[in-house]
Amino acid sequence: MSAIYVQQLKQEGETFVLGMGEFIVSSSPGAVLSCIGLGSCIAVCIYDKLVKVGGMVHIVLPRHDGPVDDNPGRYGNTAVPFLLEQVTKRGGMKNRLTAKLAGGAQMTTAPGLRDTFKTGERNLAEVKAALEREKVPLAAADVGGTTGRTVKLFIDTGVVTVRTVGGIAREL
Amino acid sequence: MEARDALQEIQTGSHDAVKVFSGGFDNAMAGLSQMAGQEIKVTSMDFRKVPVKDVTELFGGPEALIIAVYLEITGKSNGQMVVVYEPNVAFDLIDLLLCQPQGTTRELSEMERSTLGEVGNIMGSFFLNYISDNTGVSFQPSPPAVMMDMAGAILDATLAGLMEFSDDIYIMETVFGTRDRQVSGTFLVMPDPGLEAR
Repeated sequence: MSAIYVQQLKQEGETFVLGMGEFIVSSSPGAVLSCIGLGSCIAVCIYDKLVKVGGMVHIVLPRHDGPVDDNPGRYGNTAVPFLLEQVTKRGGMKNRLTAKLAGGAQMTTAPGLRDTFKTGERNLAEVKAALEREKVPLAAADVGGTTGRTVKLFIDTGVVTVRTVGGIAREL
Repeated sequence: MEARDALQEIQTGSHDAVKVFSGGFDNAMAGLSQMAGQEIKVTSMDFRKVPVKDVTELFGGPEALIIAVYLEITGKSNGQMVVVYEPNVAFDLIDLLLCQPQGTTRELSEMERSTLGEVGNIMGSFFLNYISDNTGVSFQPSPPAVMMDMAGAILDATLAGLMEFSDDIYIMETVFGTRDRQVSGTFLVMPDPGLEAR
């Protein structure tokens, strides 16, 4: 029995905003896929530039072992293969896919705290390991640091932009 | 109140929990008043349940610029507290505390961070002391972490842990200030979701 992933993505026109653990795949030329205000979370962007199909997932936590029928997009180790599967179902070819990442920050380095804010680096390690297992090359990444990011993937071109507070969006 | 469930009770929204929570925050204002050298009081308080995924909407959305003072709670149960301000409101609070004219503070440099951190420390300590006194359970705050960035970025690490166990959290929105000046902040208290597993 295949799992059902119920999502109600925020959408304005063809701009989609992914909440924590959400994913989307699109081949619509006007579509813009986005994750807003990423701290430790990571946006994984997957794109096939020949057929112009792309996908994005908003990863929240590093790893989950065991069934995740209700939310595979939430965890680094399950979200990557899941997103790749969704992209290939919609026409992408695995050997043409490339990945771009953004997020995984540590928003505070204040001493005396538990490891909550180190989730970003753990997320990044799991995502990179998953991409290696799947043999999908990592084309670019804007990760780590201590600032939040907003990420957009433009389906017509495959361009990924990243913006930080007070900054302008720059191409990854 | 059961000691084991001291923090978790807050998340059930029970009447006893609300009373204790309110008392804790009034006590936090007492601490802030001592710090400021003038009376700062809660002028309104709203205690309600919010879906975890919608928490950032309270502050204008995940991309909204906020200033947050974050502290961890340790003790027999663990948890987190976050005080969130709009930047201009935080600057007003700093001016109030430093007895400066409103509008003096315009950015968050070391001195301002330290001031807000101390605010968080005082509020957190006084709040937890009240909870401890009324539940018989000892809680301590961590050192404060002051952050200024997008709301989603500041809160996602904290919310990520919560989402695995709960779809909703209880939040306390408060307005507080002196007779002449009002500042409003949102005070979130989030128990360690692992409590349920113990």
